[in-house]
Amino acid sequence: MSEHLNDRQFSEWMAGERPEELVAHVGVCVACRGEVARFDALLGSFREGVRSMSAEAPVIRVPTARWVPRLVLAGALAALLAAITLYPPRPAPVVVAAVEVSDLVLFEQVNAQLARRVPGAMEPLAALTWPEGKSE
Amino acid sequence: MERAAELTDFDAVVAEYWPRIYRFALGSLRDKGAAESLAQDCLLKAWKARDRFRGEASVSTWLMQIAVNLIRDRIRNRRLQFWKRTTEASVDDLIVADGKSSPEKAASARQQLAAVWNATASLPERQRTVFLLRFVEDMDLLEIAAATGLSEGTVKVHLFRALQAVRAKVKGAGQ
Repeated sequence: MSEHLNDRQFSEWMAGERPEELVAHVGVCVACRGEVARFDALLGSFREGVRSMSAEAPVIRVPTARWVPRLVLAGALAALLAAITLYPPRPAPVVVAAVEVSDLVLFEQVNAQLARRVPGAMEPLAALTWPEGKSE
Repeated sequence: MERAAELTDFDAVVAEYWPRIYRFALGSLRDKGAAESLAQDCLLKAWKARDRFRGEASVSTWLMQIAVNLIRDRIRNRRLQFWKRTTEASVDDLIVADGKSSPEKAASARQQLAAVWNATASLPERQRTVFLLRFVEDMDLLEIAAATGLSEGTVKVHLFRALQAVRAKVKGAGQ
């Protein structure tokens, strides 16, 4: 093998596939040996970098813990909906005093109507016919 | 089985494998919050399925198998959850300062490392998984095949392609 490693051979080498032919070439070719060593070092730095990045791995938590607030919130919402369904809001309370007043007024009007001897439209005529203080 | 017996002390399993699963998830998802959540889900799944573990593979490979599947699902679902907040891991978190190199060399090393980080992010999911398992987790091809459910030959193909893509990006960044 006289030429330098091609892309496929280079990848094979880095993946750990090292047939005798490649080993022999890398053993004698300074350029390929340097290229392989540089890339190998770079992958080593990458490994160290990722490992150091995750070295401060957060402490494991109980897996359900993060769902608890959501469950509580969901439960509260469900309870609220159930309460609204079972106990719908009452209509506004009626003002009793006003009703009582209006009833009194109505009774007085009815009493006044009943107390008349003749319909209202005939009252002037009745006054002419029947002197004051006399009944029919 | 000796391997299955390892699961009887699950606290020890969590202590040993939690950082590794978190690291693999972080490399795959680039999101610290999602990686933490996924590592928790992975160990919870393992805990629930511990009675079914027969020890055909090592505990480590079995856990990585669960993690690989969860990551695949998470990536699929993430496309539908674009509104979710992320705590993105950036290349700045990755840089390891050695304090020995000249500023020029340090800058060049940083540039190349950033190129590898960005290249792995743009790899197809399977290539990225295989690449991370090989070069960050130091797993051999057979272990990767067991963890991913792929044949050894397919793992090789994904690894070669990933290496070619990463190398091309690094060259482009000025190696």
